[in-house]
Amino acid sequence: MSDAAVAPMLALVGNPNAGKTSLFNALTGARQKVANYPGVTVERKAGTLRLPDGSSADLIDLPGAYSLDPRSPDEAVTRNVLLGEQAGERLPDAIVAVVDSTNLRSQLRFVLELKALGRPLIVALNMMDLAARDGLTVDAERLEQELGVPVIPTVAVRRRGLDELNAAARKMLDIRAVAPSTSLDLPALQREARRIADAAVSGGGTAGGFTRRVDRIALHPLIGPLLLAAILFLMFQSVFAWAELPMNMIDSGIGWLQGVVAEGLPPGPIRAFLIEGLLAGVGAVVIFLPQIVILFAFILLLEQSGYMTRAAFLMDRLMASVGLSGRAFIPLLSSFACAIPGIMATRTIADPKDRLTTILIAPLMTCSARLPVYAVIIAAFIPNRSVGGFANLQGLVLFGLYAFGVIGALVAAWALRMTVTKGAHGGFLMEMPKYQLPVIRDLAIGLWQRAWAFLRRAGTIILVSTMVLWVFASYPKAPAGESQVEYSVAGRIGGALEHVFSPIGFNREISIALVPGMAAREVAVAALGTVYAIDADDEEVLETELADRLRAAWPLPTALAFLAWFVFAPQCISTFAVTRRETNGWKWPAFMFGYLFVMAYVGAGLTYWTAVWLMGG
Amino acid sequence: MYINDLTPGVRAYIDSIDASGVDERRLREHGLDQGVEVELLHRAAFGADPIAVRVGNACIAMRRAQAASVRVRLTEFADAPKEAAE
Repeated sequence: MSDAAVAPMLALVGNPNAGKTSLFNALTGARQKVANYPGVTVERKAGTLRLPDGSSADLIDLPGAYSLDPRSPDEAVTRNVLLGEQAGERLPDAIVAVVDSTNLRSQLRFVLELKALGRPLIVALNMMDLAARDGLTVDAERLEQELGVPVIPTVAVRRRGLDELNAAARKMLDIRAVAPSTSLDLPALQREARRIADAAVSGGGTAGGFTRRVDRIALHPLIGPLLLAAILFLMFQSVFAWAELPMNMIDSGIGWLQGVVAEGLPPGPIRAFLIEGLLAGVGAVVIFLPQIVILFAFILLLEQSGYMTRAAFLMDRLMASVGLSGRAFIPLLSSFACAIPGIMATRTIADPKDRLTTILIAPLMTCSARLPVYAVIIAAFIPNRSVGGFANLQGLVLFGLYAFGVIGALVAAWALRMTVTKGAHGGFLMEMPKYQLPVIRDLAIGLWQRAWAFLRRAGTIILVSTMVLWVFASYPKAPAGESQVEYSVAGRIGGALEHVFSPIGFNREISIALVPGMAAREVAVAALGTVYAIDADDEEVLETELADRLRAAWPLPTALAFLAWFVFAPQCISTFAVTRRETNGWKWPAFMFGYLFVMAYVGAGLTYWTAVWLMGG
Repeated sequence: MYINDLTPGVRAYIDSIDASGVDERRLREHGLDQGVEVELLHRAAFGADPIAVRVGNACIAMRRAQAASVRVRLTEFADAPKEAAE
């Protein structure tokens, strides 16, 4: 046992898809601490376990792994923690191995490997409901005898077996570790695992019947890809359609707050800062929370139902044609929410060149931070009308922007694979889990963690950069008759950048907004809001929407070029930081910045010149 | 005969894994081993690559190039432990 002052620690370990995260959520509830292990971007999820004797223990959720012989950075953390070699982590006092009851013949091999470590071990026989659905009967007592460790049947998604697991955990903490034994070789472990599973499991007349029936449609050579396209289309339409009402409510709320401040404070720099800098800036970002939540809800539902791996299967051929694997689809889809979790999710790609290429193209997926930018420009310049009776023109333009990003990414991946990340292609080997109904609790916790991360960003990086920009745009004070925006510090920086950007149709205000946009993309909107609000008086700020103001200030080709720029733009700072950490140096983030800048500049330029030519002719 | 030569819906048994090193380990960690029952479930559109294979009670996606290293036979091993009836 560890010191009295320090709570004992248990670690959850298991194959991906064994229901580890569900079990972790069921055991620890919503109060989880998510952080990173020092030096790597692997997430450390910790929670508190209430033991039956009233004491508590720390529980950590280790990344899913197939063995202690790691090939990906994710699996390396799991191995290092279990051996006590992970920096910033103590050796767990006991291990809880989570296994999928429907596939014990394969999964017990990892349990045997863990047992050889000699640490106190409990097996959580999870997904017992799915085993029953498949007509399998698992004899937990027999398993316990064969394995020589406690085996607790659980159904994490229905909270079954949790008390028994807690009781077993309590007992385990009093048990001393024994010396590690030499593990058998892999084929011998496999045979032993199958022997034990066959002794404890009976039945199985309709193995995987439900999943097989669904897969006959979901993986059908023709229907499968069409279904995937339909799901993705629905996802992006919903982001726009369903978010409208909550966004209007947030918008009114911010307007109301600005009104309160305007009435409560005397005119002056503080009032101006609160209304134009703080509320306008943060409001312009927080308003997109509903869209981000909807997008992540879709991604979480696809993951939890088991469909995500089918999507990876369907996409593998297309990915292979540009030198990637279907595995890259999952990080790339996450990148639609944010490139940072997307780049972190590439840790499950074993092949280093596959992984590097996926990291480099992840920022081309349209992240949710770009939605605010698109949303404002689309609302201002694209008519809100129906096309062909089923789709909305604004929705279609948005879909087109996403499509441009994806096409750009595929072209970039192909080009990178031919040049800088040249080499043999890795394979594609992935377990496709059985379909399951998503669980509200897991969905809620997942959404909460992501929404909170976004709000924290809005509250820190975005708030600070908005404030700095407001100061830069407000001082020094312009003499009467001169434009405040052009006279200010920001105006002068923007004026210098304008030389770079004016050939592609960007004016000074845009050039100014691109600078804080580096901190976080969505800040560009806040920045435009600030830049365009400065020259107006308070009343106008309250009454005029940014979209109206942009419509008055920008010609259409500029707006389209701005959209094209944001499809490829090299941003944001956090993305480069996470790329540096994942690739161990500045070489690849610098390369990423360079190639994205060229793509964005050329893309925006072509858009601008084409639009000018079409409108002129 | 290899996994990718199977007719969908026909049950077969792994004879040997003709891979080594990391490739072999990865296949084994996903449950492939001599005597394990397999069945070809799906082939993707466009070039029938990748394929989805039932390995015991799990569904594993793999490329044809990887499947081409797994030799199978249609009759069960006499000395192998009996598979659960499915």
